[in-house]
Amino acid sequence: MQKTEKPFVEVNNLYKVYDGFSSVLDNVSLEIARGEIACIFGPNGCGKTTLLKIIAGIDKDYQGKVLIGGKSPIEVRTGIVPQDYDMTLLPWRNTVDNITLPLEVNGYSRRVLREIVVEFLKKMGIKLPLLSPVYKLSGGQKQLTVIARTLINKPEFLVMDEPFASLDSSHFFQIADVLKRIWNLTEVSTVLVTHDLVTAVLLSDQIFLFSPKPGRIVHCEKISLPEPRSVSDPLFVETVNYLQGVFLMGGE
Amino acid sequence: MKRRVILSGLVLLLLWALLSYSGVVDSFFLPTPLEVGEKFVELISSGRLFVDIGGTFGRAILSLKISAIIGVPVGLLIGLSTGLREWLEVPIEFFRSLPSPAIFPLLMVFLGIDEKSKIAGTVFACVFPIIVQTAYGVINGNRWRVKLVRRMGFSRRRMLFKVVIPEALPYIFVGLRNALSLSLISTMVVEMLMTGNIGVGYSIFDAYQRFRISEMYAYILTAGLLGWMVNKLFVYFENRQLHWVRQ
Repeated sequence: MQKTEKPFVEVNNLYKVYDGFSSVLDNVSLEIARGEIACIFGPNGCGKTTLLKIIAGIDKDYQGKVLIGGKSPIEVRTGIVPQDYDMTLLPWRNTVDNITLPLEVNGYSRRVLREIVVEFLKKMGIKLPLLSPVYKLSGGQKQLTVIARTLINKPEFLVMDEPFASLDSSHFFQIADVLKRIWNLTEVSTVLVTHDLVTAVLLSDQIFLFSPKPGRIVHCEKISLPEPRSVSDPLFVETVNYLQGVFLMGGE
Repeated sequence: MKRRVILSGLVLLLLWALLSYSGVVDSFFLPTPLEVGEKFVELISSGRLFVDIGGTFGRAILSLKISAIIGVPVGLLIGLSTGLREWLEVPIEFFRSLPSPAIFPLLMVFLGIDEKSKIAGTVFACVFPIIVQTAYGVINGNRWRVKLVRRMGFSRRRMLFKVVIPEALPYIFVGLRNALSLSLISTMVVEMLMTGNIGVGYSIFDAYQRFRISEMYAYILTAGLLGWMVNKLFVYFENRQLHWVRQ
């Protein structure tokens, strides 16, 4: 296989063992090109979130080689969208001040920060009640707040852990649209964890199928369906079914 | 709801009146509400009651402030550092379990019998709940949230003010509320035990020693109302500050 560019995400022979004996990730190797959207699909407990924490630079305790843009995961400006938005928003702040949080490292004034947020949300086409306390937002709005907060700092790398898991379907399409727009505008390389194949096929360029615990990559599929993708497109349905079959067969 | 609250107060008053007027309890030990009421008015019009309330309240609040200034930072440190926590666990558990009046004599020996030991005694009573609750707040704070915000590149100091303290705030308020009640209790005990001539506690004890039973009741009533009102005020303030907690 010929490559013109070094992959953006390089994971080589990654192992992760909890408490000395419980193996979670077993020899995982994967490559993701710059600007690519990759999905990690697998059953619950297969180490998807663990892998995400490692490439996001939160979990530093692993064996193997992990490089993001040629650097160690900790050195990369990574945007993280965790699974549970309630656990990550700061409930004592209102919406806009939650979104400004990553920028506060730089020590801008509050007014400047808010202006940046308003400008940014306009560009991304995200509408949110900015002055409302976050606990008053709906689930979809909370998730949008987390996504906006993650992207405001112009991350080089975006990781998302089940960003749709706690949303109903109307919110799903709303947020999927926002993400597509963001990817068009920023071309940020993204790793997305999901246990839903429709999500995976709808959004990603490449899908890694994981086996049940300990997590191992059993199959890797490039998705080259034309944009915009539609869930009712026969080709789309066929792809989902095909991957479902591959997954059930254990990647054969 | 509101009506029941008022009604329950009236029922209590009626019960009291019944007991005293009927002579079931000797009227020397339990004066009628009217007698106590008269004494109450007398104490208010002479201004004496306000001086006493001011004295007790002033001591309690000063002690509470000192306790918070010591207790919150110590609690934060203990919450943040496992090592420190292990070092201080036994001393804190010991002193926390020690009823504060037990060390009043000791304080009097070291600090004399004036204001200093009164304040110190109350601080001793108040500081431990604040330390323990603050530490709990930090320990029970959301680890994942802390990790995630830390990954955004915040320094430890910024993390403290942006995440750790707000996260611990509900617990800190519980500590402060407990300490507030304790500060009033302890101040009144201190006023009874240590010399002085101003304060609700002092006046209860003084009235008792002079057999001015209605006056004693008036002051006891005052103590109860004071504690109740202060608590109400604090809860109101707490709900405003911690608007996100009840969601």
